Amino acid sequence: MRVLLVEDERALAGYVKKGLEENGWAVDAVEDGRSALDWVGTVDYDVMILDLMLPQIGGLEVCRRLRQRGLTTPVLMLTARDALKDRVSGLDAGADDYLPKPFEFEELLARLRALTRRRNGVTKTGVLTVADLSLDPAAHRVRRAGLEIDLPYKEFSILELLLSQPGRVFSRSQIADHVWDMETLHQSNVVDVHIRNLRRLIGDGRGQTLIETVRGVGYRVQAPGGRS
Amino acid sequence: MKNTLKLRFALRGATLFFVSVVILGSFLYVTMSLFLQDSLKDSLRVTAQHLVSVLDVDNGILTPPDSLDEGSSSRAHPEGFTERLLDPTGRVLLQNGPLTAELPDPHVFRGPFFSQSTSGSWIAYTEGVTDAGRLLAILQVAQSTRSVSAVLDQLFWTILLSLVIFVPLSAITGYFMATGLLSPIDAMTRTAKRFSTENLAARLELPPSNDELGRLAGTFNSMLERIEQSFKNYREFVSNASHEFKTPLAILHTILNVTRARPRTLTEYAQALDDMSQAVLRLETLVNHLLTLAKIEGEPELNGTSVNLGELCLRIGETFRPLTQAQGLELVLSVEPGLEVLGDETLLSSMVVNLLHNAVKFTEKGKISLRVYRRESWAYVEVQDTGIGISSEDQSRIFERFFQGETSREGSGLGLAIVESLVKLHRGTIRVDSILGQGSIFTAGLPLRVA
Repeated sequence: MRVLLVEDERALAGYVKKGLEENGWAVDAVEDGRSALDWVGTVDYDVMILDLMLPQIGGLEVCRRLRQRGLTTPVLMLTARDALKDRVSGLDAGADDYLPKPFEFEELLARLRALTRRRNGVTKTGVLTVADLSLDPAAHRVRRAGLEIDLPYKEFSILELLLSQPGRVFSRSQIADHVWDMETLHQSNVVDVHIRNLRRLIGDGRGQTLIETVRGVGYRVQAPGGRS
Repeated sequence: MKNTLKLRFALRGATLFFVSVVILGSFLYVTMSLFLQDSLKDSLRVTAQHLVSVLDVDNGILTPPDSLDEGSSSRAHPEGFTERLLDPTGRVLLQNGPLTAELPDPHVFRGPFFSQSTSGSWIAYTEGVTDAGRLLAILQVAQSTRSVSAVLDQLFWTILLSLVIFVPLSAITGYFMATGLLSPIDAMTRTAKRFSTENLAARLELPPSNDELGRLAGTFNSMLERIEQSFKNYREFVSNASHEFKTPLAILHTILNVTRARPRTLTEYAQALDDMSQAVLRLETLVNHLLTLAKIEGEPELNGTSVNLGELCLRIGETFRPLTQAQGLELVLSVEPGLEVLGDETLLSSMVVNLLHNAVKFTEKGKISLRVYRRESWAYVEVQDTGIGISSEDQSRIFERFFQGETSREGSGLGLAIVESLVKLHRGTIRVDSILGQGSIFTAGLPLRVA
């Protein structure tokens, strides 16, 4: 999952980015509202963490302009101001959730999961299942045929993306956009390398194949027999 | 008691009325009584003189008439009228009327006189009947004072009645008048009760009037206005202060959360500690600034000594040299000697330090100059930098508490507010001149000490 973090406190942004990345998120961090609006227009983020007090264009204004452009990216407002009217104006400006500073990092992660879940129309518990493969984003756990599989972050993120819409074909660049942030230079074959690794780890190829290559387009996850 | 003022007002009114009626009534009563007695006496004298004039006196011989009323029968005497005629030895020649037994005995007649019964029930007039200086007879006329008493009694009862009726009436009137007059005060009481931290908008709604109560109400309302304003300022201050606390706290919290989530290398721990110490430093600065502000505000009167401003600024300026050198900035100190101001040396130091800190913080390259000079009766401390400058709309707000410009970050937002408070405490002035992108000049003016 890819997140845009808009926070002008560098120290805070640094650690939030670090913590999110360690939990499998691809994070782009910007410090002001103008860059936030530039980035959100170029990359399809799964969620946006937006600080309210930003230089030049404030968080509320960023949110408003975002919605005016018709972008539905879920927005989590993050701010030290938690008076009732601040919360209300934040939500009214188009934010989907509100987290006052200081916050527990676990809560931030849970709220981000909830927001992306809602967007992708996944079941309430958030466990993604196809055939005998299940992925629990909250617990960061993958099981296949009852066996627990330990996946590295990038592989986990790719699998999470593919499982979020079973049957849909994701192009290599879509996968790359989703899993890597702007700072990581990625070659076109980096996705293929991780997919190969992912297949090996989840035991694809031995019997059932869940991750399918659509030649010239990309990859998809499809339950065997569910093909039309 | 709830209505003391109104009751007191009513009581005072009634007492005043009672006292005035008593004084006026007594005066009226005495005057009336004297007037009536005088007119009674006049009437007796006139009657006596008339009776004497009609007596038949011929060549020194008085011929006593059959009746004293002869020849004056047309004259109707009031009830209780008594008359008698005596010879010079006091022997009664003729008498007529109810009071004959009580009239005084004129042993020796020396001239006309009035006499009165000891109980005051009658007045008598004794007149001599003379011919060529020889006393022939004595005439006495007397009149009962009952009619006078009746008039005076009536007057007394009228006065008493007016007291009985009008004293309570004046008390009641006074009470209601007081209620009317004091209603604005009741309204003020109610408004003051209604006015609370939850309801700061409560105001006295009274028709405007220019009397004492109208002015009081106006003053009362403007006081409420000021209280509301200061409450709002206070709330805003608390909200701003808590916001400023929350940001470094959130940084600390997040560093802790993220770092403790998994095992780290020593380098990572060291980095986390460094980052945390930065946040702690920010909290410290914030607390110190808040304490300084509280201290300044708690000291409305400055207990100042003579401070040599030039020496102070040189000393502080030198302490900034390592910092400016580290940032590659030029530091220029130029000080006019012998400028003394009245002030608190620690607080004045704090003012200069804050100004220099501010300059260093916003200046990437170039120079910072600290000048102390004199213009007329003022000493000026001027800190000039070649930093990022302040936009003209920000210049008007730069001294507000917690105000931070677009480019400002990680300050407490209180440094310049402290400078302003300190300058005000020293009865000085502060101004800023700045051009965006070229630099700023902060000038603090302090009145020179009068030698």
